[in-house]
Amino acid sequence: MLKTGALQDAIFNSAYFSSIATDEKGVIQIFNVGAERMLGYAAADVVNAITPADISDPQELIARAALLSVELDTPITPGFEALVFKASRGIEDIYELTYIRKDGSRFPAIVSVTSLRDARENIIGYLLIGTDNTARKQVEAQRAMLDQRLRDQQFYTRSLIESSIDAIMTTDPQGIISDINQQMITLTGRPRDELIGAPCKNFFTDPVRADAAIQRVLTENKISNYELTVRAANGEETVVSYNAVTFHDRDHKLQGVFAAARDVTERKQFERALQEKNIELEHASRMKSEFLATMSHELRTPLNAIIGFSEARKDGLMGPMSDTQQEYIGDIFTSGQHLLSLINDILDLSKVEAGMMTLEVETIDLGSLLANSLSIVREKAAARRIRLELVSGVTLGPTQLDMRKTKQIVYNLLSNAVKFSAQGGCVSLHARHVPRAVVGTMAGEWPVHNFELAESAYSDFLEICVSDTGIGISREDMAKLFMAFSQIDSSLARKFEGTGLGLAMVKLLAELHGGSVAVSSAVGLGTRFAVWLPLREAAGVMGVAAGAATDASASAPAERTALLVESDDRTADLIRQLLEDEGFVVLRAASIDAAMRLALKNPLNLITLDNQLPGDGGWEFLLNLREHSALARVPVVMIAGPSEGNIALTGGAAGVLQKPIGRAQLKASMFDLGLQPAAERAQNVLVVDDDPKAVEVIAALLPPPAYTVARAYGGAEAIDMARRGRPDLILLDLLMPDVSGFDVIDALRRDLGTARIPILVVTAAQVTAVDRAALGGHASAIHIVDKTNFDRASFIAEVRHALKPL
Amino acid sequence: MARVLVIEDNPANLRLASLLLCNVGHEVLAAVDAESGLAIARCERLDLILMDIQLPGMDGLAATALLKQNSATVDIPVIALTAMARKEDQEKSELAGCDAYIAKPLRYREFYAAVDSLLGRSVAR
Repeated sequence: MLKTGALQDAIFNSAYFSSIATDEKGVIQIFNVGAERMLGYAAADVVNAITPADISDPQELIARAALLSVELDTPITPGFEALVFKASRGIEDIYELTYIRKDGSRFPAIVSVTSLRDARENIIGYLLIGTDNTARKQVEAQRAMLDQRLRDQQFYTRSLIESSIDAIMTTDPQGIISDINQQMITLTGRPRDELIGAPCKNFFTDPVRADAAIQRVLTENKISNYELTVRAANGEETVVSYNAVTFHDRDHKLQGVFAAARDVTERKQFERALQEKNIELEHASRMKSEFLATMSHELRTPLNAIIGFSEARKDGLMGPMSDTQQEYIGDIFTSGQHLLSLINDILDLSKVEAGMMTLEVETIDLGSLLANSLSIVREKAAARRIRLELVSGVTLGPTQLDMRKTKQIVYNLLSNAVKFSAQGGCVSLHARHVPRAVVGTMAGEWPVHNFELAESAYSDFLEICVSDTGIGISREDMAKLFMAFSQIDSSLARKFEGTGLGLAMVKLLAELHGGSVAVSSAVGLGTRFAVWLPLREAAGVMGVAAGAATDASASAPAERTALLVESDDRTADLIRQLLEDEGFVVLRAASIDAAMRLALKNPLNLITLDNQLPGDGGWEFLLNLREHSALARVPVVMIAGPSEGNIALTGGAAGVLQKPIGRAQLKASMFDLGLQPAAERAQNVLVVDDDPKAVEVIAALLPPPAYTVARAYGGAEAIDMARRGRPDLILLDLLMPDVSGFDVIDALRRDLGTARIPILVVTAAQVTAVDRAALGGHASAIHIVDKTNFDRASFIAEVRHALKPL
Repeated sequence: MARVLVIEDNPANLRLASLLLCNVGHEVLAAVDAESGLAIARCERLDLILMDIQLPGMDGLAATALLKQNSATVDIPVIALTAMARKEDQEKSELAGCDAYIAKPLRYREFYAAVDSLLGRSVAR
């Protein structure tokens, strides 16, 4: 008993529980230590003075009374009754309430109420045990706040998803839709509950493709810009760009796919419109080209009569005329020609613009191409006392270019320059090799107008420059220069007859090569045009070189190579000319290093060396040569100052030429070295005739050892043999079936390797003046022997003559 | 000298070709379309035919192909004369069996060269 009493005391006096006992009216009888601590009253303040209702929140009491009244269906007064009513009915009652401390502050409490009864079960009072609920309340408040925050977060995320312009959905790994946004509802035209839980592929026109998209996401974790077409409930189709990623839980377990589908209908429509427009434009362009081709034909038909009659009349084919008539008919002919060149230019331009003109690259001899181009304008230039200059600073040699188009470029520039130069002016043509970085730049003070060079791998370019001392072009006008039909000043156009297409053509042709053009000019001083064409590697050069190494004798006869080592361009040009006249193929090096490189790479028959190269280079080079077994035997001719001859000879030079160098001097030196032109050696002659008897007749006239004769019985065979054997001379019949002599000449003249082989035409047919004209157009190396009027002596004379160097 | 048939629908161009041929002593027969040209080729002895390619009705290429398929006319050399000056036009004419090709506007030197060359060849045979 004592023990129990002590325990009861301990509980009752616990500081952590408020124990308040009242009488049956509610007046406080006991107020323990816990209650004193929690509520701030001393027991003496409250015992027999107040009820627990007086230290409770009155508002809560009112609310509780009302609640209980409803619950128990009996009116309960807000006051102490509200606190204990349930307990008074024997119902255990635990509830939350807010106590008010003595200082007016409040705290939440959980109160357990029990009624105290006597032996006869009459209520004698109530016990209210309360615990301070503040800490728990705080935890709850915190959790509530976190919950709210989470809800806010979710709302935010949801808003983001909903506000997206893309239709968004999530699916499980099987492709079953688990969530969607409003845009998805709009896109599919279906309500949310129809979409969620359905396989997403159902809503695309191509379910297989849609399924494949999901499979791809699952295997690759994402998919981008996958095109699908959504079919809405009303059948409307929308092309979408589908982007999706997989999403995983925190344990990296695959949860599903998050997909966004963007409506690209508009873009698609735009693209389609663009495509249609392109087709339309292509069609228009083709129509234009066809139209131009037809027009060109239609225009050529009447021109045929104009040019044909006027030329025949002009040249006296229809009898004599008075001078005035001659002049007028000449005008008709020239105008007809002009009209024809206009038509050709227009056709060419349209071809390039329509992408129908292709590049036909071949190995061409640039030097002769430039010289030929100059000779075409020579007459016009001479008529106005305009001086023409050709300056090619370096070894140009064989170059990979489209011959016809390059010629057209050079000719257009030259004829422009001559046209716009004043009487007594000067037009010069420069050519050199430049690195890519130089393309588009022009030396001098004059303003430059250039164009961007197309991307390419070419690192070296051929620069062709045409300068004139003409009227010049203003800075503004330079921009218009390369556009078709833009002869800048229409009054100029009247003064300087032209098509206005020349420069546009030059630009297009240069660009077709992968090159570019530029102009620099100063009004009144002159104009310089530059064209850059990429230097292509010769196709098959390696193969040729290898062939030459194994069978050097095959290509030997006609080809002798000289290396010209000279730093001064003018001197180099002079010596090159002289050497070429002696029949050498000339390689030029401007420095010792370049010379050594060339010498080691090319089989050489001769080296000419200027001893006035910068530094002591010339002598050093001479000594170095002697150390290479392959080069030690190559004769070296020193080009020396007047007093250096003897030193050169002791240094190992085979001969010395003293400046200034003349032709006779060089010839003599070549003779001394046994390097005289081919005519003085045994000669390889190729005889071409479809009649074997005729071949033998001619072969009999060319006995060994002076001659060795190769035989060809058709044009094609002749071309082939000439290319392989490089004979010193070709005796050619003109009238052969299939490939005629004309064709042979044409083919050989186009090929750099055979272009220099002299050809003697031997023909039974009456060679008309016209034939002669046709042949003469090819090269000066062609002589004609008439078979019908044939005697041995004159034939041999012709052969000898033909074998002489040009 | 030689008998030459000129098939050409443009009267001025027909006169020009005739003039150039007569000038050097050839005898000229003329047709203004391929059909009548073929008829002449079948019944006349000819040394050469000048064939315009663009003709009303059958074109010159078809007419040449017919000539070259017929043993009676296969040996008559044909020079195509056309204002279609493209390379492929020349190739087409070769395919059809033309022995030479001259682009309009024709220049008499080239014209004579082609005529002489083909006449020389057919005479040699």
